[in-house]
Amino acid sequence: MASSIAKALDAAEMKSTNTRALSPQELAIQSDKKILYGSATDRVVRMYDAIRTYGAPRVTLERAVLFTESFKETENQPLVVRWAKALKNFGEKAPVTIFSDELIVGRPNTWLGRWGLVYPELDGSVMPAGVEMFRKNKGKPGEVVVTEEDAKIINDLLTPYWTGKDYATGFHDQLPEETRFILYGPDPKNTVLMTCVLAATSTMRHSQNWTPDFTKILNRGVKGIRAEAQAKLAALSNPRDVVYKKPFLDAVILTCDAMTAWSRRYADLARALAKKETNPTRKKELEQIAEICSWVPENPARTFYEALQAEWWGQMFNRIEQTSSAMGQGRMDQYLLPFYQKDLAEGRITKESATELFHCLWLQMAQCVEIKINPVYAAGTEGFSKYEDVVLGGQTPDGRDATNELTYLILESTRSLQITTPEPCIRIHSNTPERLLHHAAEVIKDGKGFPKLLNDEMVIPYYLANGATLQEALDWCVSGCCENRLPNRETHCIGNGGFNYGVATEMTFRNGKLKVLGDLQFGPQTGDPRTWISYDDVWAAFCKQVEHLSRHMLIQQYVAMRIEPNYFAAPATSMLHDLAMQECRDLHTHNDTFPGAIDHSCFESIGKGTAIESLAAVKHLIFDTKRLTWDELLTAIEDDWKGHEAIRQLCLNAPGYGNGIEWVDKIGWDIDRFILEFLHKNPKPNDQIFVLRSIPVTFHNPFGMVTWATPNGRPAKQYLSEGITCTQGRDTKGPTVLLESLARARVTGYREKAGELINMKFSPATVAGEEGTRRLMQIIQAWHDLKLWHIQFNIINKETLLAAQTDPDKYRNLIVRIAGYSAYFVDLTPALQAEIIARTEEQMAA
Amino acid sequence: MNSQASKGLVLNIQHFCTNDGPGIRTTVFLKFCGLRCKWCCNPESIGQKPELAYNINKCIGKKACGRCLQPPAPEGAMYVLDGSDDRIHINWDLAHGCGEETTSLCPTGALYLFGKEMTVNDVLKEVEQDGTFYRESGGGITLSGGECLLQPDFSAAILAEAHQRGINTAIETAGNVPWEFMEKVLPHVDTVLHDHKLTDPVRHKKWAGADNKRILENFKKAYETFPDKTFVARTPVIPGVNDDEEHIRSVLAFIRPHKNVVDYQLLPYHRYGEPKYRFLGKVYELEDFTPPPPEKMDHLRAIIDESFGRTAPGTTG
Repeated sequence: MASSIAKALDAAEMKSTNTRALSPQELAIQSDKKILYGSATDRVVRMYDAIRTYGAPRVTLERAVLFTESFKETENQPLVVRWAKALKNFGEKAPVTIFSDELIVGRPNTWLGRWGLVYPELDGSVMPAGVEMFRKNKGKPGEVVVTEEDAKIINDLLTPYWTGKDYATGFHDQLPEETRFILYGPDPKNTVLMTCVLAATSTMRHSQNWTPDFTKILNRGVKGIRAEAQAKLAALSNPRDVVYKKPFLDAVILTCDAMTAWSRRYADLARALAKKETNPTRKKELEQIAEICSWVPENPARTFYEALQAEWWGQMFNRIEQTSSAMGQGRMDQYLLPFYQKDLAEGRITKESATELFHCLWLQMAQCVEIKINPVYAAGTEGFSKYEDVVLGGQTPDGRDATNELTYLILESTRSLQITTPEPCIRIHSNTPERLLHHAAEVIKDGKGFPKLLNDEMVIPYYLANGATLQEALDWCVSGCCENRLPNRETHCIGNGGFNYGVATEMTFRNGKLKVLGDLQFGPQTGDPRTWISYDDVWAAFCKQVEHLSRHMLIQQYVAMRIEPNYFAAPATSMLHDLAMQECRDLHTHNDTFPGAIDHSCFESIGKGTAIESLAAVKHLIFDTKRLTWDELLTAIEDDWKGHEAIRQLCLNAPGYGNGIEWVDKIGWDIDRFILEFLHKNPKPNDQIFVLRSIPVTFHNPFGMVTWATPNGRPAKQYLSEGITCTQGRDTKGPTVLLESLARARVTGYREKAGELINMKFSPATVAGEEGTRRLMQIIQAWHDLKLWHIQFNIINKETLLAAQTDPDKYRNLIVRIAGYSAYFVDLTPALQAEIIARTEEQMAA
Repeated sequence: MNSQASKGLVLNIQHFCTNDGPGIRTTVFLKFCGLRCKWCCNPESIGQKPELAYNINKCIGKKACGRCLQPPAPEGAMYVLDGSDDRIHINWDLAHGCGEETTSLCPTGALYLFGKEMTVNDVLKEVEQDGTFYRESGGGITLSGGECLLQPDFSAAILAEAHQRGINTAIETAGNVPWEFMEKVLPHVDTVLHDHKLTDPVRHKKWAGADNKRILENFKKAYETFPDKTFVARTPVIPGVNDDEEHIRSVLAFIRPHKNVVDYQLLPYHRYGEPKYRFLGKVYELEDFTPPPPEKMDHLRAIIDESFGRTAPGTTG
């Protein structure tokens, strides 16, 4: 009695008689339960409660103020030394605060709740506009609290000093005129708002996604790093080295001292609090915190607890030093394992106490949010994610399965709380144990969107093709949405450009002009489509537009590469990198590639599905079936479909991407190949390259805002397709066909090809029970076999999302998957909420 | 004849099916059926020819479109009522013969044709895309319908070719066909999902349009002729029609002597097919029927589990 779901049938009608199953997350919200799954100690629940009731995140300015104070005194000194001195100023003067339930300590703010750092050296001139935006958002999703006092500090202290000195202004000013027009539009005074024809994320972060090698802090202590720097310093004799290397080594020593100074101040505070504490249990805890903070990060960690605290110090300094918008945690189940096993064997911890410590660490991370002071970037990265990727599973450098007891413990510890950190990611390979797959599928079914899965089958060959040894490739880390890192081999730390397939499509059919942006000429004049006689003409015009924009993508990236060393340094990050220590050079000096480095820049592309569908609709309707004339189509597009609904419907219902139609998917392959060939022909010096990626964050929203109607039936200003998927809701043949289409619509034979993001949404009923878990495992295994890069799942009922829109307070802890990260649904703008609701909900056929 | 080029009438190829045999499957629905079950959830599968369907919810109206109001549709087949709602209505008597020339005018897919001719190769080409999922789940192709055995040459060719390409095969059949048809297809089938709808021949005729004499003969013969095939008996449980213990027990009595009938599954009545009656201009007769309560299903399944010597519920619905 299989029921055939006919195409003509509305899926909603089919479901009407279906009883609704709820995910554990939905159940927890319905029943007002605090712990989503498993258990958490009272202390953890109290902290969680306090953090969640604190409300919107608030800017914390101490770092910006202390950096500015120091920078004023160090002008004209080597940049890396200035950075280290600023860090030291912070370590010595920043407020130290310990809250009554904390076990892991260290924060740059003074409240228990979410906080976000600002970095005036990055975009200080934009800050007044940012303050204005945050204030306008008061009470709305995306709100960031900026108090009167905060605004005064920003406007009176930070902005005046940094205006004209910050990177964002420098980048704007140094762009060639034509590139600047594309990025910022015709107004030469506009240094803030990007057009979104392309994006330049180097102006919103000091660095591309980063994963520091924290094991150096855990295993050697900053004392060990300091000693290495000192030995190198003593051995310097070459006069050139005195100029080029000594400042870096001086900076490393200063940075080590800064970290030690800050942790010792925490030790002092803990000791003072312990003296006053009347509760004997807490007194003991505080004494232990004092002991730990006076030992790490200076010395190698001796216990599991010390290892976690040392790791947090490492994170904190990385965050204080700069923003890379991602805070990769590396392979935690690997590097923490010796500490865990030793303590377990010697009775210092239990599984339960280790879980509590993890909870404390996750809660610290959950308070640190990424705020974007530039309105365009705020729109492009909604949800405040900091991508605290905790890499689990995968393979060891000698090629064995790396899964261990800590893999399961860490994964399990991420299930309890309704927080968006950390971001567990599992490296899947052909020998991933069934048990781990099963556990992962169960956690996915909780509905928070965790863990995300990445494919060893894709990333390891990528690294091998790019000069890594097999052992290095086997040890790769996730960093960001679905980006990848070799922490000691990769050096590229400049934010990438963002390529907008939406405008490239519009420019193809509107002779290089963009209607939303004043109908100005942004691309080459590729002719009036009415004169085109075959699909080849369409394709040729599209390629010209893509190539034009691609050239400017690379130009803006070279500008960033050339100027960044004049603006940024990162001694705390660099001292954890083998190559930086070997060369005695800050990572930001990489406009001249480090010897032995993999230093790839990234070409981020967004809205590929929109382009494929548009080209396919034109091919099908104008040329293959002749159901439309150019006049009909172009007039309908020009009018944004108003008065042309029948034509829009024809476009919407034309053969679509993601539905197993070979010739349509092939267009995606053609596009991939064209861009890859372009990147292949335009490598960077020293055998380095630009890699093609499709990781949208939420840029498909602002990119769509500047794109007029497109031939796939999309109205003007609507979001573009996300990831490498088709337009939200247009895949009608189910998840198997979708994944097959996605796999077919790309080219994998280039070393320039990297991360691709896939979101999939299932209703909880579809994956209910043990049978549903098995089904999910099979989908994951097939995804692995299809050699797709990344996948993640939303397991949620549409009704829940709609309810959250009408009752945001009740659903304030509802977490949804966005793009390689999860966020609170109520923190998202209505436009993004609508996009997430529109994503296809995959059903099992009844 | 080149069997890969042989053609048949296909209703729909549905991917990611999980209740039509082992693993993740792709179900190919063939058109034409000899029974008239009142609960049928695929009413569009019954007729032997392509059939016009219409979903008014997708229509954008005469003013915005109106394309179907012109030839080739016969005059009056499509019409609009007076008033502000200018969506199309269908006069089913007149529209009966409308084919692709008419549906292709509709930009929204509101007008749709159920059933299209496909070759064996066309079918396999679409089915084979899911190969990775079959490998990881133990799935494969399932022929359903309609009654797939009423296109015996086409079905046999599809399944033989699927076996050639290493794909696991299953069929769903109600068994109301000449034995020769069954005999032709079954050699190419790994799992035979077959329906025992009602025990009493008179009531079978009343509710399913034909009695079950030939059906039961066929099944018995099939069990005996194909001892190495896997058979799974199934009953769509329709409240007040066949949700009684006697029916379940009589089916068990029929199947249990045959070791190659490995399971008996109960599928609770559902109404997923109801909107399709409207789309076809047909009337859904079981207006007041509701799905059987879960406790009822559990109770009936317990009888089966006991008969199969299982302690935990092992069937799915």
